[in-house]
Amino acid sequence: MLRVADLHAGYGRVPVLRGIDLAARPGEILLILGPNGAGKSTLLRTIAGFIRPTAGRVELDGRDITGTAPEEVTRAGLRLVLDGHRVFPRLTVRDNLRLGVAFRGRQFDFGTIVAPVFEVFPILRDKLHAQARDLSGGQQQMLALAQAFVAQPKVLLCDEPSLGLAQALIPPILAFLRRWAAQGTAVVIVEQQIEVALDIADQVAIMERGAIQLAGTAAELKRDKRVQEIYLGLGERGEPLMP
Amino acid sequence: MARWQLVLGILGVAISIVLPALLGSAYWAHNFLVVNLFVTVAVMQNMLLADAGQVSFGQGALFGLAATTTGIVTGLWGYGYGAGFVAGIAAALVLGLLFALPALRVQGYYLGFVTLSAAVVFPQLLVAFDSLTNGINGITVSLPGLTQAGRAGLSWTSLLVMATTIAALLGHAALRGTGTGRRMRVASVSPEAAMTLGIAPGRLRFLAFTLAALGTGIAGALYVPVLGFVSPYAFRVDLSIFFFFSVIVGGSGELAGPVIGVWILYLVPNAILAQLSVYRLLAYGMVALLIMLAFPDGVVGSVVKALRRRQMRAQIAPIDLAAVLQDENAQARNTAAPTAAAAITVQGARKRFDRLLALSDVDLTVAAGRVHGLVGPNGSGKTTLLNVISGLIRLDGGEVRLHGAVSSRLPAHRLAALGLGRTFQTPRVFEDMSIWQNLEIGADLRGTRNHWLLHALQRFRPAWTGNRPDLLAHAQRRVLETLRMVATDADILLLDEPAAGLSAEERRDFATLIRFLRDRLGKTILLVEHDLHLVWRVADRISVLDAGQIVAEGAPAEIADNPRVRALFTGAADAAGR
Repeated sequence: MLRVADLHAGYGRVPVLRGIDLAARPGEILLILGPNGAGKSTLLRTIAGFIRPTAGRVELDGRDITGTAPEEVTRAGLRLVLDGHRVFPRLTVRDNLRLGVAFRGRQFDFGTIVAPVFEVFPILRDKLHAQARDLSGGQQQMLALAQAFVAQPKVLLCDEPSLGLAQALIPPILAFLRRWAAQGTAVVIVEQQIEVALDIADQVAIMERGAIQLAGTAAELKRDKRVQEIYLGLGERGEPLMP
Repeated sequence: MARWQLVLGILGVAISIVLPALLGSAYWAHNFLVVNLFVTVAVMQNMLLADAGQVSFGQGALFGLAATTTGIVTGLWGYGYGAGFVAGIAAALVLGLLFALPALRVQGYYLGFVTLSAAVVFPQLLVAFDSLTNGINGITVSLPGLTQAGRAGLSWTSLLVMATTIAALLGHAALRGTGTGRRMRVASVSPEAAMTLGIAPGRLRFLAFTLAALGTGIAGALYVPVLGFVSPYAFRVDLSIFFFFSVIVGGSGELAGPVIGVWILYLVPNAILAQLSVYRLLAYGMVALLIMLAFPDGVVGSVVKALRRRQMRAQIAPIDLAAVLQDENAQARNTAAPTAAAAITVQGARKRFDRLLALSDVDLTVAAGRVHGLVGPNGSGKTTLLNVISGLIRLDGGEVRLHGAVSSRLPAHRLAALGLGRTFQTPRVFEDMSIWQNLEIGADLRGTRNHWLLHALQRFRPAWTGNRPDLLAHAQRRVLETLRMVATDADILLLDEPAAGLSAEERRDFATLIRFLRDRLGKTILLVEHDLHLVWRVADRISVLDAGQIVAEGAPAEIADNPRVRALFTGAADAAGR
């Protein structure tokens, strides 16, 4: 499982994260919500090793991976899927998927590994030999997720999987993540829009201004008025709502 | 800090010319005359690169053009050396202005390539126009009156070279002390910030190229009596690269850097390793490489950095907002009452970037003396609108008025004079100036340093004069940038996401500062902010921008209750239909 304790990080001298604590358990989806600029993407990038934290600790299955290089973090079993469906545009769908497996080291049977992916996203099988850049935005997002899936990470971090996708494409992608988590992976999803992924999440944390302002189970927070209030900057921690 | 470098540089120049003459070593005397001519050119290059931020790989062509012109006028046409000298400088000035023209359009390495191509073509031109230049045969010029050794073994030429090089060093130091020099550095670090401070970057680039051409031209004209012979082979492209490298090796921006840089790069391969003359270029490359590995900031630059690191630690006085907020002399600029109740009026603003419609028919009125919040999701056009108002982006349609006067057709640096100031998402703080100078540059705009803000902060002056802003934390830099704008006496302030990166406490302090600016100083403030928390607390009125259109406007309470606005920020379903 992934455990983050009192994490501080930022860009250059501009601090962004101010003491983040969270835990993502195997088999569960942790949804991190927050308005624009709350520090959600920075949090994922810091966990994945792209930003060196100024303080705090990141643990993967009890092992300290704080400040470890991204490729080491990946080998340790953590996978970050960036926003904007990043795939290798000039490689075919098949090669993109094979790259995902490349880190596993052992001998593998490509067909067996990708079978569950093709079951959920049959379009990827149909376009197996097409270049990734010829895929639509939604298909590229599927491919990006599939590439992470075949690597079988222990922890998956997913930055705004719904970004730039047509409404109709979002449910199958979220359902895929749900099934994936059920296999024992700890899944962390970042979303800006509150309602998009609330239904598939187990735990929810609301971030604002670099800190977690509210956390609980998805069921608890679903009806909690405070979520919207935090988004709108209307009062928290006992401060007056208006001047 | 700068003074010892200046003294060191001048001593180096004087001793390197006087000592070999006294000792009667013709070889070293000659070598050091050439070295000092090169130092002069490198000082100009240093000014151009570090102060004006202009990358030129063509200074060798300027030098060669001045020398060749002097050679032609004196050696081929038979006029006196005085006439040749003036003609050489004039030619360098013309080419310098030609270099400045592309600098108005391109910057950085693109400008470097344009000037580099001039340096590549120049020696070929000398050969191609051999009827004028004598081509590869070169021009021999004999000027015994100037070159004969007089008292203490010094010729008129050596005295002229010494005077020129020392004048170049002094001139560079003096430029930095002037308002023009400061503006030049500001324009080089951030042309955008410079424009919002009322500085026209293009004019300063022109000035820098002209000054550099003047100094380089004089050195080129003096090259003729020093060598007595001018040939195209002396001015190949390596000469231009040599000048650029000298600045880097010495330490870009350090006053004494060019002296050390030229000494190392010229003397080591040409004099000390002279027996390896076949491998001169190799030796020259190796020296440059080794120095850069050992001294990443250049020789002088690395020394200065080490010294500074040891000195500073001691005292860094944080910027104390209370001193500003409680100052009794805090007052608005004494201008006539604003001509219109609206400080900013935007009407029908339209702006398209390729296929993206960034602003479509935006109307916005900001009342004088009020804080107006501008909020909206990412990419809604907030920063575009801010850039339009501050003149950094031209509108496709519509207009902007400041205090009733149309401003949308004026260049950005003119708007500062109309009382417009702005801050940027990342604070534009000028690193190579002291903290105090960073404040002063704001007051400079008004032509006088007599500003209540500078008086209010006077007791911090000693601590801030010696310290550079890189010691300040992000929030402090934000405050410094904002106070600098206050010192310009701008009465319309545009703040671009000032709360980003501030802690809860720092945001509260910043909110206090905003209220102070409005209530005590009567400023009009347009606040673009993601942090709605801050906006609700300081704004008198709020406009909500979405996809380039104003979708709601009103008092904070109205906006906070507006379902469409709520949906916009929380991503609820009813915003999906937009």
